[in-house]
Amino acid sequence: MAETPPEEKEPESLPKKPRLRVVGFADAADVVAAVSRALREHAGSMSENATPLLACCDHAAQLGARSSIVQERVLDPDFLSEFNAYYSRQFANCGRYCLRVHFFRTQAQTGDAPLDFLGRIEKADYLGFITLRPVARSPVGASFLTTANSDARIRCMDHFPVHLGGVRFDISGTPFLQQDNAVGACAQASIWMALRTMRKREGDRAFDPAQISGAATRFSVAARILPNRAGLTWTQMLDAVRGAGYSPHQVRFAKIASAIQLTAEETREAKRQIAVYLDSEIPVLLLLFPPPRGAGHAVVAVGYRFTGQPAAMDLQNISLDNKVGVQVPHAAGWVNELIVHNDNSGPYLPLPNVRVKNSYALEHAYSAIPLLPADVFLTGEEAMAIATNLWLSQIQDITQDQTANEVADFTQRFVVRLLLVEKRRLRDWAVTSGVAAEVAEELRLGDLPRRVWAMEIHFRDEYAKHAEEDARSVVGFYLLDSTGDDHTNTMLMSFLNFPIFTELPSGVLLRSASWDLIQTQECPLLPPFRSINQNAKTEPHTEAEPQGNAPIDTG
Amino acid sequence: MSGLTFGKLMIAAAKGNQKQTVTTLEERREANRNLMDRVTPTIDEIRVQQQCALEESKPIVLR
Repeated sequence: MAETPPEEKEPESLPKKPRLRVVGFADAADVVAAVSRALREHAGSMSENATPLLACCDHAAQLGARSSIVQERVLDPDFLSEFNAYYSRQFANCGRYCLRVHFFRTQAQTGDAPLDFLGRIEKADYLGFITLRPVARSPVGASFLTTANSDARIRCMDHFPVHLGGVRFDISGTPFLQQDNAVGACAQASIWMALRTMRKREGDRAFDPAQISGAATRFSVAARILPNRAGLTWTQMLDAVRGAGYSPHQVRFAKIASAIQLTAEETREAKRQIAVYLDSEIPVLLLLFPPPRGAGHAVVAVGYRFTGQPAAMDLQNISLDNKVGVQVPHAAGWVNELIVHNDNSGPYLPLPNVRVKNSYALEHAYSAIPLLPADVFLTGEEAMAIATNLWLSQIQDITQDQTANEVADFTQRFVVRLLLVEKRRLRDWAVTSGVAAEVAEELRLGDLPRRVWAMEIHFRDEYAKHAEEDARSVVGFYLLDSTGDDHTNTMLMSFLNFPIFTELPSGVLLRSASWDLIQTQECPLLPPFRSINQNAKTEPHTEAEPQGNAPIDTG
Repeated sequence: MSGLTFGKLMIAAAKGNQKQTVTTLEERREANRNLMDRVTPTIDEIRVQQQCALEESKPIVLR
């Protein structure tokens, strides 16, 4: 008897919704309504605790979003990692597809043909996208929105190509992700945001959320890994940072990690130390323990608000040797407040220095974890101590015949700013800055490590002008070897344009490699190594795009 | 030679008639020693503070 062939099953078909559809917004409020509607259809419901989603919608509305393309059936790699680690193992059905909402400034009508719309929009009108997980309680997956127009200086960001329906768009921004409270908590979300920001610059190394949880709990476990409701300890966070290839460096502001309430001076000190890394375009994980309970929360600092007129009490003086008795204002005095990605509140939000109502604040910071590249052996704190000492010593030598008041007045004319700068940026700067030819030649032709710590010395009055424009304010600088550890041999070069701020007749370049001192030609005030007025530069950080760093393939 | 610093070397070069001055080994050692004397206590303090904080900290969960 012939065997009956098994009945052929129909392959599981995908939903019949169109993959791309245009949704127009009547006004700013309509952005929230439209995205909420899309989420309800996608995830079945919408949690009342939708703060990060609403904040993303608000941000898009502030950017001027007037329309969107809703993209169905997105296989988002970061959610797939969460799906594989957790949701696929649940009995209850959870889809593996995400929904993406792409925002545009261009006006459109709901139901417009997507290809016609894509054909007529200006590429500059693209504002980025929100990825919606099929998880109602924590919907915001890997999302990339451009920065809002404001006085915020977003220092930590990158440039991301996005492909949509055969059209390539480009956005500059800082990746945002809400914790899903299953594979990861705030700590993992913050680490993910920081790693994705640094991804291109540091050779395409970035963990997905599941990999972060894995790296964090490899050597030390404090609670269940899945679901990860308990979050991570700071030691586990350091393990994850180290596992991703960065130095597990932590800058502490308080001794005990519980209910932190820094004093005003301690808060300023914390801001100064964090600003060094932000000016280096290094995102900084902040570990906050607000009173009264001291429940820990992690956010990632990505920039700051710059003020042209700091309050006198916000001027940060640094003096490392009381015998010298001179103090110099630090650039962090012009940092009004930090800008953070807070996974449970939203992207690009201010972190006030002191608590406002129930907000998180910098005064709650126990410590900071900057994503310091592993080959940087000299920390920002150590580099600051060395460079400041060099500058203070120089001031002492310049003013040795003056009275104490005269010395104090002299030092208050300057601002110091420390930042980590890539060698190629220094060389670019040498070409365009107008620096004296001897200095330009040394910077362009000399041997330099991949990154150097640069302390810029600015005229204080000129520094304030960076609030409005790209000002020229630099009168000199010290370059330190970031791979140095013996702190007496870290200085690579210094240049001081003496005629501009003293009666000395010539500027001088000190080259440590050959230990010679060269008189330099006359040159004007110089621009900083990185713009203070603009957001971070967003062109690719490496000459060639590293392998595997594919554009965001949205179809 | 006592008290020689990088700052003094730079000021001397700025005042000098020569376009280029090469420091002697003795001058470099002196300037380096003076820098070390000033910087070492601060660097040591940074490292000791870090160490103390590590010993005193309790690992508390962030979520």
